[in-house]
Amino acid sequence: MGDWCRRKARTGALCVFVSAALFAAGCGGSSHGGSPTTASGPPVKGGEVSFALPAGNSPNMILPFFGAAYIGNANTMDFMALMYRPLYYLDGQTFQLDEEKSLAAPPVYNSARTAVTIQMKRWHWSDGEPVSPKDVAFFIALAKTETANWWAAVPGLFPANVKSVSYDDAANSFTLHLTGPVNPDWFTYNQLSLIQPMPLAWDITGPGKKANCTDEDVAAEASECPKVYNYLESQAKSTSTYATNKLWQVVNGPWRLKSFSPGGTSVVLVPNTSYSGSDKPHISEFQLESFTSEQAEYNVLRSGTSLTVGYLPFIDAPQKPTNGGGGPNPVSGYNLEPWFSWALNYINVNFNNPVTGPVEHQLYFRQALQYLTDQNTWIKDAYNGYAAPDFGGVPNQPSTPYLTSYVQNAPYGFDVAKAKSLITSHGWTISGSGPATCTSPGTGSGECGAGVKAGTPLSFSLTYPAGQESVSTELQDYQSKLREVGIQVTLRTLPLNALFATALPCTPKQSTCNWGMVDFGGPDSYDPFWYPDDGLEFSCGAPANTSSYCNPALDKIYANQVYRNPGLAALHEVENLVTQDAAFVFIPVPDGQLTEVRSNLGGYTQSGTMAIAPEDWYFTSGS
Amino acid sequence: MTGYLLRRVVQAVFIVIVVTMIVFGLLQLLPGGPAHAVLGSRATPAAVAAFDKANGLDNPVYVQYGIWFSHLVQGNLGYSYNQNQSVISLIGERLPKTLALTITAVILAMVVGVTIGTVQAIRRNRAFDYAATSVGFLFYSFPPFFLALLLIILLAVDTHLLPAQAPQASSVWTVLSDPRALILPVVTLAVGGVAIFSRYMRSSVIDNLLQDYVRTARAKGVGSVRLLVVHVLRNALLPVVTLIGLFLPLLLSGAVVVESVFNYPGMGLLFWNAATSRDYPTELGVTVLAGVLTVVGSLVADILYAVLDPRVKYVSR
Repeated sequence: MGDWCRRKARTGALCVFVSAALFAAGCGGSSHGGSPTTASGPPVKGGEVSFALPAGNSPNMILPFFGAAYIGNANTMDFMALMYRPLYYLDGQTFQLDEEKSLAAPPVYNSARTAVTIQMKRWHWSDGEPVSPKDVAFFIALAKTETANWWAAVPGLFPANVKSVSYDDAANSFTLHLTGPVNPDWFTYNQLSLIQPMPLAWDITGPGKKANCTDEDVAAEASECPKVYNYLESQAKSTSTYATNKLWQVVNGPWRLKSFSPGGTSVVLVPNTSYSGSDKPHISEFQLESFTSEQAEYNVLRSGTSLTVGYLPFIDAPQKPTNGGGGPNPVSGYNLEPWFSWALNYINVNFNNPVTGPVEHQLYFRQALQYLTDQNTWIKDAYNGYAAPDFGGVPNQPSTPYLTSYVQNAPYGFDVAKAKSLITSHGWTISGSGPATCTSPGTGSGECGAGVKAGTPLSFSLTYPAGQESVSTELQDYQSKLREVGIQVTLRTLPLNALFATALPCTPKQSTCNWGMVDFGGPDSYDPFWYPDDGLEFSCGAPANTSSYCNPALDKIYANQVYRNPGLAALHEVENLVTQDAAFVFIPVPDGQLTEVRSNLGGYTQSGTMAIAPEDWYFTSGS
Repeated sequence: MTGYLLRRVVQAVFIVIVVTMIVFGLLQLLPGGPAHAVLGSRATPAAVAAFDKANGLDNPVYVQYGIWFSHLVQGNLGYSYNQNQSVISLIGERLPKTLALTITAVILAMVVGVTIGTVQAIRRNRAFDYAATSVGFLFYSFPPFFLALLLIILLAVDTHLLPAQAPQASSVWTVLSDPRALILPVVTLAVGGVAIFSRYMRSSVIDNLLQDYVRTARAKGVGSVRLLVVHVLRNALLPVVTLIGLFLPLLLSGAVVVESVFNYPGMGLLFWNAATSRDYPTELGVTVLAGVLTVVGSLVADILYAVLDPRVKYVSR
């Protein structure tokens, strides 16, 4: 299931962690996330790490149960997840369950796949209370009663697809009884990945006012949970008290909050000395630093001051060598480590635009659009080599069991001649430098297709976020390639949030349905829906289906197979169908970030989930 | 004078109200609503509806404006979902920091600009005057972004003499207690002002030096220094003082570039980010503040003019 959070790499990230997230066993496990940095010298205890947040991002929410307004790595991956661990945590190197960092053993499904039992570890919160099924019950109760305030609530899915839960506090386990059989991989990676145990210390409606918001007491949850949520939310709105409010000091992760400056511009975390995991922090302090712009961050990085982990703006990046790895590093004293994210990237076409929609409904036209994506050139010229090609419904890199050979072999790889042939053989006449026009309307072979009138020009708008140089370079080249076959595209820019507010799923009768094509400027991360079925994006009427693409055959596969049947066959079918149907214009996936890591920092890894694990980092002697 | 002041205050309040109405109306014309800007393009209709209801956006525009205005009167500028903070607290955090930076820059620009302009006038059409004029035009035409980068590369990246970012502390006093980190952003902001103030001052001092009262003073044996400081400067500063009053609103917005390059989140960036992220409450809050500062700045300029120039009297007609 794809995400509904958009991110431009890590910058402007709008993705979520809850991260749990696992990948199917047997994933490729390629090293795209990067292996630990090889700082020379023995590790030393202590030291302070300052970590640059993506420009314009700073944490502003601490409660790990929040609405869509607070989705973003700065809140989730870089802040909450360090203090409040999700039930399941994904190893971003192997794309398998990270059993060390997770709060429970891998889930066990019954033979009918209608129930799943989860055995929790014997971990503790920092206030001494055990991390137990009661904490899960607290979370589930909130998820059931506060759907409007939970970013991940989707009608019919978790927790609505859970008929009941039986909690065995003595055995420290719980069993979810489901409404029907499920595909275990899908349920684990896309549903269990959402569970975020919450401490009983938060089950209050005011200081010292104990409440009873727990799924173990279904009768009480409807009346109690809203009061509890209102109190927690009110506390979470007081950002100036984040570091002093005792609520937020109850943690089960390796870190706790020491200070939180106004606006979250500087956040300091220190080790949680009660942390139950074995991956206890080596460093003594972890500081998140926010920046007003990439340029400001880069200036600080180059001036050789305080940053331990920063990033290189793409515009300043050297060309990546063809043999992989980072290019020559313009910043001395640091190692350049490209941070690859496992994600899809594509241009949306508006199938419901009353003017251009009939053309966009034509398969041959969409195939032509895909044939004209000169991905190798864009990767080299627009991203200086720091990107990977993307040809279909599952990312081409890294190689995973999800990826089919059909998609891997780029069925619509760059070919201008084929694109031109598709256009001219379907009733369009290319004349001069203007747009091609439909000269053979109709639905027969060699005609423009249903709904396309005679004289219709192949003329569209393509909007993308302002201020993104790489995207601009890429799309300008695309514009010129399209022009070669008579497709005239007018490029427009909008601020990203304005684009979010403008390019929405719509119906032809709506006045706002006049957008033609949209590139949101960055890849679509799966996080935390790690089973890559993309149902939230590709199925008819799905909330994240910006294009209003609708293929009933696809919906049948989703409903009857992907969510229900074990194995990858249905997923492969979905992926091939979406790719064959050229439902979206797939374009290269840029690296999430070009990280600069101080050369004396060891143990540093970059997760494909974009999560960070400063508890694994250490300085080497001489630092 | 009191009557004049009262009239101006009433006018100012009226102008600010009209400004808020215009801005409120213009925001409604933007395509897409704040819900999707905040929740993302993929928010479910239920989530959008919940957001609109929670923020009163499901009411007619005039009702929304009425609610917002009644809150404004009570000192409540609304709540920024983007920042998870009340707008008043956001402004409370950012405004002092921006003022610390920009007021320091204006003072520096004025001191240096007035001095240079005065010396230019005294030594007009000589080498120093030509050199200062040339440098002044250069400074005036320098884009602040370019100048900031140049200074950073020279003094922070290459020589490590100064920090590349402004003070990161949250309180004004701590910001001011780190003068090394303030040097580059203040200089970047001040350079353009030096050019403006020096040009104004030069021509104003030259005008005054040609006045009869100067000739009379000289004839009476007043010394050059006394003549300049006591007589000429007081009169020559008049246009500069009015300029300062008109600078007030610019203090809020003029620092956007410097705030961005020197990693100094202040009012300029607050408004810029609010505008690009459809953060309506913050946009309106900052607009009200800018409107108030504009009319107050204009009023202050008029009053100062009267104080400094006894010939100017504001009387009721």
